[in-house]
Amino acid sequence: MIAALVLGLIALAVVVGVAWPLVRPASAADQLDPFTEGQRRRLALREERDLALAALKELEVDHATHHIGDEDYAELVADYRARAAEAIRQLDAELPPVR
Amino acid sequence: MALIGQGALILALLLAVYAAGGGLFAGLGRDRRFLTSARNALWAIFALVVIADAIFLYAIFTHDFSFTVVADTTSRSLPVGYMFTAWWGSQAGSLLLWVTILSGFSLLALRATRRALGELQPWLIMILALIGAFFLVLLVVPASPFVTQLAPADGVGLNPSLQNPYMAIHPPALYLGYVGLAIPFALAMAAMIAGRTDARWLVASRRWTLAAWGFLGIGMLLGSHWAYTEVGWGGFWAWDPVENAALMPWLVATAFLHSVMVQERKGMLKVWNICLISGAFALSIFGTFLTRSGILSSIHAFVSTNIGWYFVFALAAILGGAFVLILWRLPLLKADQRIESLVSREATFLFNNLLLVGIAFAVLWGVIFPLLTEGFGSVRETVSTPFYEFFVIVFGLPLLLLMGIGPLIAWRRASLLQLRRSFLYPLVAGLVAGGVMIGFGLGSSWPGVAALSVCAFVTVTILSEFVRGAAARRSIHGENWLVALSRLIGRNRRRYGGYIVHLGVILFVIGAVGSSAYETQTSGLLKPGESLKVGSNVLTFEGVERTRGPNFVARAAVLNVTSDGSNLGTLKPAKRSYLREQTTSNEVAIRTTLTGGDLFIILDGIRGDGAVQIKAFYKPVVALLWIAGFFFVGGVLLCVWPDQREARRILRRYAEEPLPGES
Repeated sequence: MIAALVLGLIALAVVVGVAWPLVRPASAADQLDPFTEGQRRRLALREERDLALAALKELEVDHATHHIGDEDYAELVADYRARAAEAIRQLDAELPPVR
Repeated sequence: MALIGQGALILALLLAVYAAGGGLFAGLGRDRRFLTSARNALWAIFALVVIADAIFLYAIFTHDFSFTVVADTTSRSLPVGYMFTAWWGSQAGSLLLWVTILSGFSLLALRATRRALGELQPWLIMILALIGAFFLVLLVVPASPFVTQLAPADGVGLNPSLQNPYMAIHPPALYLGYVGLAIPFALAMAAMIAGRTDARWLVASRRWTLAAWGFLGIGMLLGSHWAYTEVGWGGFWAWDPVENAALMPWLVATAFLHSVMVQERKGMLKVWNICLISGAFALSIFGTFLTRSGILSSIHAFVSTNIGWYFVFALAAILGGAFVLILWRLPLLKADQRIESLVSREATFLFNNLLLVGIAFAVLWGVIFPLLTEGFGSVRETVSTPFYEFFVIVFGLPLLLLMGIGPLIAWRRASLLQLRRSFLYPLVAGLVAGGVMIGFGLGSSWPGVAALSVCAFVTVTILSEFVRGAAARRSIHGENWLVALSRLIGRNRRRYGGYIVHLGVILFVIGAVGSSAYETQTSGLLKPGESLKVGSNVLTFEGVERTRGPNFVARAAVLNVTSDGSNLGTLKPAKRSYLREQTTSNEVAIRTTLTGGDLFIILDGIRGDGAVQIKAFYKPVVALLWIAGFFFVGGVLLCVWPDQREARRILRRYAEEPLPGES
């Protein structure tokens, strides 16, 4: 009998805790913003930019530790710089995100 | 009490189903109220499971044998320390531990991803709640820890082999690993459902995978040490299906931890990474299935127990769900770049992945082959150690070699000149090591010579990485060697933590190869005063000693050990008889030498006339196996420690683009 009572109280507390967000009055803030195609595109460009910048940093380390020769280093640096620049150019061309 | 425990689990199950639905509604309807409600449900599940744990442990510690599981796994004479380990000594108890860890990890994962992955939260809750619901169904229906009976006067007792201090850490460590893999899997699935296939989920899941992988590794190492010191057959790894159950997800998670670097740096292998993390989690469920379904003893046991089909369903849902989601999101998972050269770091990572997955498949085949032969034929055929050793040598040696090659090759491509420069010293070290071994008469085992030569090669490459990096810092920043080295490691924790783990792997391989390929073994029947020689050690039998423990009686052979005329003391291999459990266990005697070798003695039998049957081994460099564990733990901690600079860089990236989420 006591066990059933304890269990009932636990169940009641759980139901109140879980249902509370649904029974309180709704507001505009309850709407979750969607993830738009524009955000996806810009995020991809930012990742591309960050990847290129990180690769440049890594190339520097590889060059300093003699894992890569001068000729390859120069060629790869030029390539990654061009990639980062292109990503930044495309980002600038996009409309600034609405805050 | 049992009613409250069972009721708490039923409530938790209902809440898990509700949380999954709430997550789905929140994700589809973009409704924060459902998200909050579903999240509260996960908190409530955790609280309810803790209540169930508390009741279960209370029953164990108060010897409440009206709980069937308590009566089956404990007894009044069981030492208090092992009453806690009895928690995971039964099927129901271990599943309860699974759910406890999962519900705690779920809350941690939600907390950790709240800011940067707010978009994923509804789906993350849904996936985690579904996984939780599966295990709660098991606990409510076929494997309840709260089944009661008319209480007997005493319990059956705990399996003696589980009455060992390692059993307090080994199973929970494995469980932390198994369950930990649920989080990166859930993150991957949530990212695909939400269409957030950018690198953020990968960064979040990497740390979880690393932690789970670390726990699995520690769990396996502790299990090996337990097998070595407690099971008493003279080895540390028997390719037992239970051992393999942990090894398979560990291997696949190892592959993921390497290939994730390729995706982070090159935007490649996106589909492959999702396959790997899904595979690792499916194998962790498969591991739990193997150890819990009864299928290992016989396929007929699987059919007769009622838990097996639940696992089959769960495995099908995990693999099928992942497959469907990958197909759906394939356009978002296209590689940004391609591998330009087969001589590049990304190519070595790819080869490494193929070899790791190859070993995992070989082990999987070894595990399921007996089940297939029994299921489709009449006779159960098993594969034995040579089968596994063949694949470990064929795939493992190139893998070991790649561990040395990878760090020396630059991303994208490498020139011949650079390769010659980078590999000269490591190659010389490998060749010299091989030559020295043959010169010292250790050429009897070619896999041994090959493995140890490759170990020398890899060790030099790793150490040269530390030296080169520190030298570069010295020349750029003018730091002294110590400062340069500490800053090099501190600012590249993931990279150098990985190298430290690799050094641990090398030590493990040297320990494993050295102790198995070059061990000395002898056995003999000894009467008091008689001797046995093993290596340079002479064992003289002095007599049998009887002792009594809290729940056992032990008989030990007292052996005096001498080497080259000097007395090294006595060793006492023993046999314990557990009275309540009515079983015996071997207690091996081990003496570790200064060179890391072990004198390992097993008492095989005691005759009525006082003579004893002794089996003795000398295992060179076996201590390296356990020392490797410290490198492994140190390296993992270094890798998993939060990198504030990386966190700032990622937060900056996402701060530029306000994304849906929670603040």
